Amino acid sequence: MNRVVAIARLHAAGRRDGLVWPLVILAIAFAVNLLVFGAMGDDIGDRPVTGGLASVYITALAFGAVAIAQQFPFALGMSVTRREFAAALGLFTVAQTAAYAVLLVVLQAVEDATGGWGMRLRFFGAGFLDREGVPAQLLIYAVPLLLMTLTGVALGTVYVRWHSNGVFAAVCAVLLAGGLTAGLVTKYGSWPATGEWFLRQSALSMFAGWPSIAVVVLAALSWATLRRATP
Amino acid sequence: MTPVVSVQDLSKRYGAVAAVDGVSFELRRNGIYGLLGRNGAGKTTLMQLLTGQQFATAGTVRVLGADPVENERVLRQVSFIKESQRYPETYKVRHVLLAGRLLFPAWDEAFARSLVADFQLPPSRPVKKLSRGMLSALGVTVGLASRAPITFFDEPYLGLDAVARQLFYDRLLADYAEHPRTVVLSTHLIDEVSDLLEHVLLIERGRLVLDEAADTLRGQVVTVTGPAQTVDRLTANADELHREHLGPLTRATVRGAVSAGDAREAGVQLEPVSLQQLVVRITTREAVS
Repeated sequence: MNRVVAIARLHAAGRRDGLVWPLVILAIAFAVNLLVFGAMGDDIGDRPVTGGLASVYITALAFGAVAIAQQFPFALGMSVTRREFAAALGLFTVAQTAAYAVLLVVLQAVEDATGGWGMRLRFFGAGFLDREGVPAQLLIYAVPLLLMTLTGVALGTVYVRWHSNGVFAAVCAVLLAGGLTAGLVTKYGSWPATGEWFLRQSALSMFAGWPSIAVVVLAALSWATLRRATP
Repeated sequence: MTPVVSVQDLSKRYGAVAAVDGVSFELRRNGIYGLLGRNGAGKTTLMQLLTGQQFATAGTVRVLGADPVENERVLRQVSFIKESQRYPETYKVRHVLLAGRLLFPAWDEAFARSLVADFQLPPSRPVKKLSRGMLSALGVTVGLASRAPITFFDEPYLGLDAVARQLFYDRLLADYAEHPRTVVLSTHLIDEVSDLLEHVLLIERGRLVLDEAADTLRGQVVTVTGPAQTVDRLTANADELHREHLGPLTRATVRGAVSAGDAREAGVQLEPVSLQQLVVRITTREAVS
């Protein structure tokens, strides 16, 4: 068997519990929502949206960080090169993201077809998704999921290379950059223009287009960090 | 014969500290090497450099004719079992064995199963729940069953009891006889493995202070016990490592030629020194100088 596929299998072996738990949490959150909205009956406002999907996205972030922090030292100890490790992680991440995206698109289609599970509940979907085709829907679910995973991966690579202090420094740097940007926008009175820019973006570029650039940047930064990391 | 490992002026510095300092040596194809030295002498760092896990500050490393760093062809023929190996939180014993089976081309599954049975490893137990000894046994199992042409064991037997350690030595020797390879054992339990070793590398504070065939060493270092003057005369051409006084007698530990015939004639006692004593003496002297 190809070595990269073999290493991806090892990622899956480490992730087995991690693949199931977000789905269990998702199912519980969904059940609770059904109960609550069922009890509220006609008091529900106009097509409410819940945040139940967040568990999938947050566990993706945790997966990314753990995949590096725990699998990387193990893989190198098993005579795997950094290149093979990264390729396998990329393969596994893409496969995992695709599987979640397909699942979510199917569930949201069912949700639409059943009129929000018979009670106008929006759990898997969001209003704007109805106007998009299936390929766009897949991307809108998948790219933010990839972005969360890569954020975790980036933090994980900083951790294995520079340890806790590196992670604190990286988080500080990001906060500083964010604060600086906000300060500049305020100074030049550009908030209205910024808001308009966001409103002009289509759902596809907002949730898939721009985030995919961030995904590529994070992947490149992660690899640059990982290729000189030691277990 | 071309060496499987060739190291030239290898150094690894962390700031001002030289963990490995200008080391040069070669490892032949097929042989059991002892990499000996105190804690912090640089043994683990050296093995990490040889397996591409650490990056050298200076010097060259050639493993199977090439630089091991990020070299898939080389690394899949190398197995490095270290005491400090970390495992993913969610892994069970069988996941680690699966990793061995998937990653080492020469992996012998039947051999792995027999080792698991010998060491009484529970396949479905999470690795993080294993005792210190079982964790070592898992490492030993992977290292032996990988049948890698170059296998490093870095203190793999910490936590193993005497029975399990003997099992490891027996299995290693038996498997080595059938499937010869280059094995490097790094250990503190020198006397326990001294019969296994064919060649000894001794490292002290990052520098290689001894690189010698074990058989040569065994005859080379002796203690000479007798009156001080006689001892001095007999050991004049030898390298003195240690000297102690026992009442009227002097006991010198020396490396080099001391004639057994002369010793008998002079009535002094000539005794071979164990590998462990030898390592202690040479290391102590290196530390002083």
